[in-house]
Amino acid sequence: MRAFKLDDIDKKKHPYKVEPGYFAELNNDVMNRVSESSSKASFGFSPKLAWVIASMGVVLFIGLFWFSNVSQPEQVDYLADITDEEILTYLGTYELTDDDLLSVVEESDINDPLNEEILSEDTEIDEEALEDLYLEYQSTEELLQI
Amino acid sequence: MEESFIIEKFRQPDTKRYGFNLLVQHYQERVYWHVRKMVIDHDDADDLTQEIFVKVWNNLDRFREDSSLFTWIYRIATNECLNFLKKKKRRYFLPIHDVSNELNQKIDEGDGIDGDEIEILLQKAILTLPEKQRVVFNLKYFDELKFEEIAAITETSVGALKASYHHAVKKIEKFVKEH
Repeated sequence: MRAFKLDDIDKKKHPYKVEPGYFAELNNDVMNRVSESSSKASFGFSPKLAWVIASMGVVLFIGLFWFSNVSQPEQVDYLADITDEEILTYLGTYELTDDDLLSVVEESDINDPLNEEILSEDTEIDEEALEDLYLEYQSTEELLQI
Repeated sequence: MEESFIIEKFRQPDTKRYGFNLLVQHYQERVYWHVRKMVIDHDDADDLTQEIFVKVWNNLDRFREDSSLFTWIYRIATNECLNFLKKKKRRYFLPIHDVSNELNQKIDEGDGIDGDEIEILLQKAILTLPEKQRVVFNLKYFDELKFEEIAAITETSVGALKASYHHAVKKIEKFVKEH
């Protein structure tokens, strides 16, 4: 059998066909697409841009939702079911360490105007108030010794 | 019709649409057949051809006339075809030979195809080539472009194109002989 050569067949012929009048229709379709494209462009909001903005919105929403949940864990009032007596009993058996005292001092707001007032040299201390405070302290001590 | 006449009409706001209509009338058949030979299916070719002209419309203001208008439009058309086939490959997670099988099936189905046995066999042989080589073969064999013109369209050297075309012819002749 003789080897096939491309030159043996009618050049430029391919088997693809279109309906008669197709190219007149194509011309109209192209001009219509161009008109649509122009009106979209004048609106200034391409489908690609719309997708980008929508995606960014979704990511932002998920991000905000996620971080708001992470930064604000559900608050549970663990002390709600414990009576005052039980708390005082616990405190009575619990020895405060130096670290505990330091943490209390650190947590107190020294910028608090009330604290400033207490620390101010000009503050006059009423003797009666001091006595009340002492009595209150004493009664608390007694409670703790129960 | 002179390319410069079309460009001149397009660049004047009051004759822009008229200029573009001339351009479409002048190039649509060549663009369509170039695309059709690459994607085989008529509907795909129709849609792609329209998209190509929309791109031409959107970018013609930026055309700097470094190459001929015809070369520039063919380059857009070729890129659109290659991107279309690439997307098709990605969409179906198929290797390229399966896409060429799919295109082969379209030839077998025969919608919008009416050729003798050797013409159909030739198209099937062309589908065995890598896509870029198919572009080169079609532009040289069917559209009878010069290698210099194909080089401008594909942005490849003339030497590489000649070698690519030569190999394509050998592969096609071998395929036809074996079938």
